[in-house]
Amino acid sequence: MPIDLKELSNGKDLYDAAKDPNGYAPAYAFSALGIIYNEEKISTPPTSWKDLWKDEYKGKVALVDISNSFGLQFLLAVAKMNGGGEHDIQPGLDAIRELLPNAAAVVKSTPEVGTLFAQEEAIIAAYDTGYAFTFRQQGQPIKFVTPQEGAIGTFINAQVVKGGNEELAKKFVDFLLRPDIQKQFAEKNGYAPTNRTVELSEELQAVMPYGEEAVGRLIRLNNDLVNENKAAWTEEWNKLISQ
Amino acid sequence: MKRRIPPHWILIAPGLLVFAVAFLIPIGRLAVMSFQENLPEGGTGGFVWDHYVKFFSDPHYLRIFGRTLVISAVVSFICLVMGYCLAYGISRAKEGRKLLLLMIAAMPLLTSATIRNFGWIIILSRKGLLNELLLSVGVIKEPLSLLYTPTGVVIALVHVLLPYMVLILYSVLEGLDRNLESAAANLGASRFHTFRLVTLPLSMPGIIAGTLLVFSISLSFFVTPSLIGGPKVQLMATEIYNQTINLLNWPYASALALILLAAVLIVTNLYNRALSRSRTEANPFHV
Repeated sequence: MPIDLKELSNGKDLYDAAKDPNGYAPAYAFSALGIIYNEEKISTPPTSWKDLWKDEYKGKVALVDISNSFGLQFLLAVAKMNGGGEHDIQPGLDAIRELLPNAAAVVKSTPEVGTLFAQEEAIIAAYDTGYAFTFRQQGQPIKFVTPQEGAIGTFINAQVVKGGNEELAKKFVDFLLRPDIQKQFAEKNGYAPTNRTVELSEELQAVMPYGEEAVGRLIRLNNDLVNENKAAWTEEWNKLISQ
Repeated sequence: MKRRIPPHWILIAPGLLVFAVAFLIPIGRLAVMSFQENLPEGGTGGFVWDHYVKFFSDPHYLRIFGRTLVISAVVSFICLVMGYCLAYGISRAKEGRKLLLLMIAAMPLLTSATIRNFGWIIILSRKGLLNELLLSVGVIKEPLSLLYTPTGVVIALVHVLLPYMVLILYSVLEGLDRNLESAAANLGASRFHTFRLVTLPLSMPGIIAGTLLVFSISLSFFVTPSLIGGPKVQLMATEIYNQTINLLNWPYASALALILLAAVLIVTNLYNRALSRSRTEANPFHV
């Protein structure tokens, strides 16, 4: 059910980007889809999605299947880059067709992405800040970079459901928006805070969307259009990658 | 005179009840669902042929079906050849060793298929054990791409299903009358001829039962193609999963499941006919 931000004590400290366009509870954490790469194998950091198509990465790109939310986000990012978007996925599919020969493998789940990087079968991929953080914690030399075309944002939120204990639920949402809680999310999980009063160390700032500018540039997908078309897109994708 | 229920009905009844509740009723529901329209806003609508039309008119899905049949046939054949050699060897071993060898052959069954598949991922990957071995011996120069390919799926499926084939063939080969082989040798047949004209035809029921079992299981196997094959290797089982879980198109998934069931039933029927025909062929005197 919709929430009035004024009811939340932390509501005034939120970035605009965290607010839900339909008036529901705001996001309590951001993560962003960008480029993750093995910093030991790649000396010049990539700057754009287009870098994934480079010859020097041939056979070393980890491609994520559309059934994974990040795979879907990547497809949309590529579509947008080539003139399409939620309304027209074809430019994305065409570009992915070109990328397929460069792919080390097409995988569905996060552990598989982690394994590909750990075995150095893949050294670059489009994935999200939260998991880039997790891989780093596991000891892999993985760095995250926001491509110049912009990172697609994942807006992690908690919603109050009608008919339950609404007052307590609202307090819980407020709790999640507290700066000290958000700081813990950032330090332990690599999720970027939505409360602008949170201060993070330099190190952490480098690996997640932090600060008005970075947060402001997060792209929010039109989920209604996505949900409508997802089935058709999945079929097209499967036809594209099947061998 | 009081009518008694024949005793065998009392014995069959519980099993039949479980079968009806756990199998027939759900399949019936699937059948009904496969003709229901999948509404975009969720839920199902009225009677349509759409899903079957979609399947048979789209080469993408027909290719998935064909790929599934081919992979299952290849797996069955390889299991047959390897399984027959193993079963033959075990049944001709010394009495004391037979049980041990049989247990070793059946040991993979003790671990779940999922765990075995994770093991195959470690072995088949480009930096995995198999590639390291072949590279160090010098057989290949570049690591083989086995993971996420149909070949890898076949290898893993053979490993998973071989024990079944071995156990079935072993029981048939063990039950053969050795005197027949001695009689053939007595009449001047070489070892090869004895095998081809006596042993092989007599073990035909086992061959057919084993290949039928392996074929049906691999046709609908999900775990191995999903883990080893990945998104690129699309088979009926993984497509049904995709339609059900990712796309929430339960009616279409039901149609796919029924088509798969029909395929298994048709193959079983053909096999059964071959079975009854070859039995009479192997035993011309109808002893």
